[in-house]
Amino acid sequence: MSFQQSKTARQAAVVRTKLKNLVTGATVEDTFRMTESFQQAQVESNEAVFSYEDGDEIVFMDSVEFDEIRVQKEDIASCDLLKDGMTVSIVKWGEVVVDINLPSSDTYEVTYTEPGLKKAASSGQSKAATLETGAEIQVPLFVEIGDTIKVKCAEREYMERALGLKRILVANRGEIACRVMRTAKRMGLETVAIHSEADALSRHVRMADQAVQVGYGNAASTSYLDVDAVLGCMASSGADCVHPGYGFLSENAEFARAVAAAGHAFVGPPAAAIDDMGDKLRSKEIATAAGVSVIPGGAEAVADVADALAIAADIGYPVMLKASAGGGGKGMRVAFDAKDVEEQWPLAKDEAVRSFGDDRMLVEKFVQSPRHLEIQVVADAFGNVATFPERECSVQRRNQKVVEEAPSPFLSDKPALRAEMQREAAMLARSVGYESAGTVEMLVDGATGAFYFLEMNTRLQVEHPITEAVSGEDLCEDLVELMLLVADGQRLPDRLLGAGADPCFVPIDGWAVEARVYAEDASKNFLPDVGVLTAYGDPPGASHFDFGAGWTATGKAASVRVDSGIEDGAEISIYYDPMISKLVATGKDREDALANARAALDGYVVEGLAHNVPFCRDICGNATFLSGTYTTKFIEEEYAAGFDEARVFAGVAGCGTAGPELAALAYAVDAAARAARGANPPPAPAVVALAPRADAAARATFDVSPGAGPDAYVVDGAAVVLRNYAWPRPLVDAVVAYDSAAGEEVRVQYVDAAPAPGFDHALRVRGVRVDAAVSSPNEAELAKFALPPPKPDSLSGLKCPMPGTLLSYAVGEGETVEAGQPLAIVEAMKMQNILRAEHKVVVDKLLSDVGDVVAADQMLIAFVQDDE
Amino acid sequence: MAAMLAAKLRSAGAPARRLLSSSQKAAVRAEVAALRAQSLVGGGERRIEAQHKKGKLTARERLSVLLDEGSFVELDPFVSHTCVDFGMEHEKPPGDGVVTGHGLVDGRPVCVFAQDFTVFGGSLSSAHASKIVKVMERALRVRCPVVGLSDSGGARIQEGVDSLGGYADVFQANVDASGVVPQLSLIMGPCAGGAVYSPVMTDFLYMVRRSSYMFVTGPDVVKSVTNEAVTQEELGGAEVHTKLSGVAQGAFDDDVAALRGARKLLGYLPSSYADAAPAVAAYDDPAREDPALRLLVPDDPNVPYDMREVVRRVVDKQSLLEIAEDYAPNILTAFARLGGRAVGVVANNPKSKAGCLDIDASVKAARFVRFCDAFGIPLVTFVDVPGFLPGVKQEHGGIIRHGAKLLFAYSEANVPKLTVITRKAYGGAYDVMASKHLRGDANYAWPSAEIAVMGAKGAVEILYRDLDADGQQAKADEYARRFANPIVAASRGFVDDVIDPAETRAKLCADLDQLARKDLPNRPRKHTFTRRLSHATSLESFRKPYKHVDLKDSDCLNRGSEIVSEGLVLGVAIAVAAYEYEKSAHKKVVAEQKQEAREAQAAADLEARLVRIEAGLADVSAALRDRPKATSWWRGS
Repeated sequence: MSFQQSKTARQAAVVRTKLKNLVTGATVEDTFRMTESFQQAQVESNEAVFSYEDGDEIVFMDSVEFDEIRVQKEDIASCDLLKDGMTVSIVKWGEVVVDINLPSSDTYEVTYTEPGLKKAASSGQSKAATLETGAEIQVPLFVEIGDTIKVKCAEREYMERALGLKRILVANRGEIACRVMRTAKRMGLETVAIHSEADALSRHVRMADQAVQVGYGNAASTSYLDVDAVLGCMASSGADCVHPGYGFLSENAEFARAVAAAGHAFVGPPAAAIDDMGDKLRSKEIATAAGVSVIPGGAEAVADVADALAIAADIGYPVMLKASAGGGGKGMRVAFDAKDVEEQWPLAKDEAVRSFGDDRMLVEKFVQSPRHLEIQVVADAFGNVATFPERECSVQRRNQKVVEEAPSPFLSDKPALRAEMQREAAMLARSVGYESAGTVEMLVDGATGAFYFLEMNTRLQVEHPITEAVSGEDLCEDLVELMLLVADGQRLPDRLLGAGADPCFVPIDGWAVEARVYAEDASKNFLPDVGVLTAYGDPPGASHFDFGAGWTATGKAASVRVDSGIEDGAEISIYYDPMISKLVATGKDREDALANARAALDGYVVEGLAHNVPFCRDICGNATFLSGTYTTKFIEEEYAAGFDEARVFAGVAGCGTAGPELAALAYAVDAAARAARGANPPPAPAVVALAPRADAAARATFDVSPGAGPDAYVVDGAAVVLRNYAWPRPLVDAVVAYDSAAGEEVRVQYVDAAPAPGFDHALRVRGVRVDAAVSSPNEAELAKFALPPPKPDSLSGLKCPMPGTLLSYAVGEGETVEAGQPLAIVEAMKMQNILRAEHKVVVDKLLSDVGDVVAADQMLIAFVQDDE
Repeated sequence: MAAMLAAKLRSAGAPARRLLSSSQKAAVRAEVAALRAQSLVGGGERRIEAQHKKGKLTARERLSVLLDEGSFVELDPFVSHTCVDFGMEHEKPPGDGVVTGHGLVDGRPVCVFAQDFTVFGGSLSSAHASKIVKVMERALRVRCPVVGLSDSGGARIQEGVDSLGGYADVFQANVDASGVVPQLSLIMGPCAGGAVYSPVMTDFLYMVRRSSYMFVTGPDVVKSVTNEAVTQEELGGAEVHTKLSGVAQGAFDDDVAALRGARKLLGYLPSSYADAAPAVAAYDDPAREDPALRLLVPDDPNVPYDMREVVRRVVDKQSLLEIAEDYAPNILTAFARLGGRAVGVVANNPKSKAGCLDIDASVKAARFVRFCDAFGIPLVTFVDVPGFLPGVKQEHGGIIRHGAKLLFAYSEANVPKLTVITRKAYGGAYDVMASKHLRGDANYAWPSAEIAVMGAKGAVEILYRDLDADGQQAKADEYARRFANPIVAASRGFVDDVIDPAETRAKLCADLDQLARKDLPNRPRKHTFTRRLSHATSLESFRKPYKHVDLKDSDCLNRGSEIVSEGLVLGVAIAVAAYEYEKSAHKKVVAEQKQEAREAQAAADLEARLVRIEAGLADVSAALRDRPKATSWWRGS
């Protein structure tokens, strides 16, 4: 056996050849003697690693077979050659050109088979396609000895140089572990997953080359958060570097130090930088020293009103007078001029004493229209700092981000301001000797454009995909790739370093929106939920952890990326963060990206537990949000009374303006379902009842009969046409689509679950469950005689909605409670959940003891029953 | 009104003969119209309004929901009672408180009766009962399901013992129809005392919440006898019977929902034992893989999961219809479809009581298995069972004999039996749950299966009771390594294969395709035949004495029919069945003979025996022909 290499390449790479099954019976040593012309990098038993360069050709000189040639870097193939119908396993992603030169001009076919997706065969001398991991190219031809098979990848090179790092342990779980491993594999690293007992079957475990249990039990504290256990896993798995993801140990300087002490690489910033930026006060001092804007004032207690006036004059109005010991809005007063300060000072001080028993006051700049923007930076060990386009993260609830976008609509017409922010972010990073990826959070005053440093996050952030989507000229940047390069001691690629300018700005292209999908019920005050996913399906056309076709060509086309650590049948458990996924939609501009996000959320199938898709969907259609003028007060202002799912039906009880179309759709769906089941066709005319949130009491009814022509219906006397109605496999496919009267595609989901009692079908419209019943007029008329529904359970007592620990009761026995008033607090999934009264009730008995572990549906409080 | 008209005509003197005749005809026509009109309004508007106020529909309204629009054909609208006591002779409403007839459900025929509470409170008279019996006999004759809607205050007290006799006639009709055609009962009002026994002997019983109740003795009697104060709802409402007693298999919020529920159920049932269950074109790909199935069973054997979720993912989408969902939730019984074919699913559900078998679960599942077997519906069993539930209450309650019911039902069933062991299959419960040893046709185990005599911990506590905790733990680990897997059972052939959970559906669908040809007769016995013959009202219905024997091409049949016509049914039936049994045994032998020549002789012997039997039949037939007169024992004349 021998190879032949020609030197036409741009970069070095690695060929790893596994030599087994040598037909000549040659020993490994023999084999290598025959291939002396190669640079031999490493020999381990019968495995050898060679260096070679891009554009190299592999020539098969004799009939020695090898089980696998895995060509890393720009090559993609693991070949089992010299056979008709041979299989080439793709170990990389991206656009792949299979270029086969034969002595004769025979044509041949190249068939690409992707997992879960069949691509059409094509004929010709070469064939380009985008392939998923694990994809196979089957080349049904007989290759003669001496033929040249060149497998070339047109993808942007993933390594400047061969990585010194070989095996990475990802000290995290869920989507971020998968996300990191995806890039690591792409770069040729072997991957190691760690998992708790509860996660033994999860996606990140199966994705990794090897998996080790970390610590014991299910709790994060005894598994993912146990530094010694993680280090033990590194040792046992032979990993030489560790990526901490986000959360868990990602901002734990001790962990970073311990990793370094053990001789491994920490894929993140130096421990000192974590220390520096981890402490809020210290980070502010460093920022101030580095010349970064921080919120003026507030540094020390103010003695009296004269002092306050002086400081206010210094920092400029408006200012905030606030209690030093304060919090929760108490003892906080805003002053717009000196007169205000004089008036408010005594009141604020008074309030401070009463609320906190401490009259020390601070004066601070007041930000009128606060927006939360952040700048992504990546720095290398050579002092280079690349700054990326900003992320707009103002849509927050209790400091938890819900929907983020990049770039910010606020900065889209202010390139100078953006540059200024990026410049300061780079200054800060440089001042602490930062390396790897980090984020500088800024508070921006939407009214004035002033911006102030808040804090720096020394890790890869949850919402990093939106930055990836919009950064880079033709290709999306991969932040994990950059982190690995930096951890390997390499310089940032030239394209990120600008033309010698400092700081270097990464170009922006396109727009991206991310919705964080959590297992929490937005309409029940964001109550978290747990359970097994009974159905799960990506939005049509979505790809995982990158932007699919757009990743290599351009990320700017409308595409959908789903980063998720779960899959159909997986469980969202009480032990960890209830995140289901991050859904990222891109577009050429903001309008395009938001339309894409709405369509993606409508086609995103998540069943089995409560989730916030309806809420995310509503935000993506919210007028204030669409205007781009929102602030961090967005959710508390727009959803002051909480989120009512029926709101997505735009007002009209039942189902709003789209009601007739939905009723016609329900009728069409019913007809298809009946046909599949071999039942009679639906009655004509029929009465269609629609109940949002499966609430029978909120039902709206429509008279529906088939109209003239296909997909035509008459609903309440008016003609409705469901243009391009499509439900290819009734009862099986989750998404039913049609074009609305306005011409846009509407996606409605057919839920694979039992409809509410009395209903025939469960649908999901804009994320909201809507149950539908199709009855004959006779049935509808007779159903009116049914007895009214009995009193809901919520009148007889308080049931605990999820398993957890009872922290306290907010009421006593005999007390009268108004609707909405808190009744008890239950801790579940590290969240304190306030359980409120749904009606006006009188408390009869408290049924559990504070501190008890309580089960879902366990009765916590009994109410006094009046017998009418 | 018609009577008044007739009287008026009479009083008008005697007109010419032709005229008289003509006017008489007119009067009859008017009377028919008047009676029909009266029968249609039942107890009148005031009572209908009262019925509606209770959330209940009238008998005719109910039938209009149950049956395809316009398909109802009424029988006996003019039947009235015969009672002449207590002033009853003055009140003879046509129809007598029950509407009977037939119609279609999704295009398939059913026979129905609906008690009309607006007429004498739906009380049962002998005439009322005979209408029910008559329509049930018709159902047997045409072999279609019977749906009964109960809404009756009880016996017609004015009739006394006649009414009681009527109940018994209905009971007998129920039993006659049992196993021949599916019988459904919907309790949509009161059903108390002896009246409860008719619906409870039918195959499925649905109730309506808050408007129906069933009990043998009502709250007043209970109070006077045991001094327990209960309401009707607490004593015998839908919740009680679906959750506690297991009397009912389903509860619905209102009449319309219950009736639609019955329509849905009928979609899974064959019209009779001799018909195939209605199959639909496979709308869901039989080869569909579901990788989520690989995740549903937790590694930790002590962590519960919902078997319903497993079943739901395996069967055709949206096809699962649970039976007795709220009763004994540790076992799931349901109808579903696999590749369009109706199947009966029985599954231990670890979500409740760890999925163990207790008295309630055994009885619930046994009844369901027997129904499926009787009507030729293949059984698909999912197993995760740690054993029978221990406890004094269970033992004293007779878990032994109740558990045996399920064992018996599974052993007796000769429909296709497919079994999937998802996790635990311990001890005797393993045997019971459609194991290979009980003639299972396809028995699969998932890699997570543990087929063992008991859990490792329990086993070690018995085998090594003297060891300390650590020692026992070590032994338990060893035991688990040895037995907590499907490999040992697979190596014995007790499971046919260890399969990837994702491909469970594909395997089961392929098996069902092949097993559609399954032929495995049970040995003939008296029970097999008396049950069939008691309803054999015509030769036609006798052609299929039981479902596994198709007599159509048998020479014996014609001879047998002749004898049947002479009335000697039982003897022939046994002869026929013996013939069939031997024939099938013979078939098997012939097959084996190709491989082993030595058995050829034995086959020849059998052949000879068959000839002898056929000859014997001919003799019997001839002898009977020569008899002067045969008595028909079964008509009792």
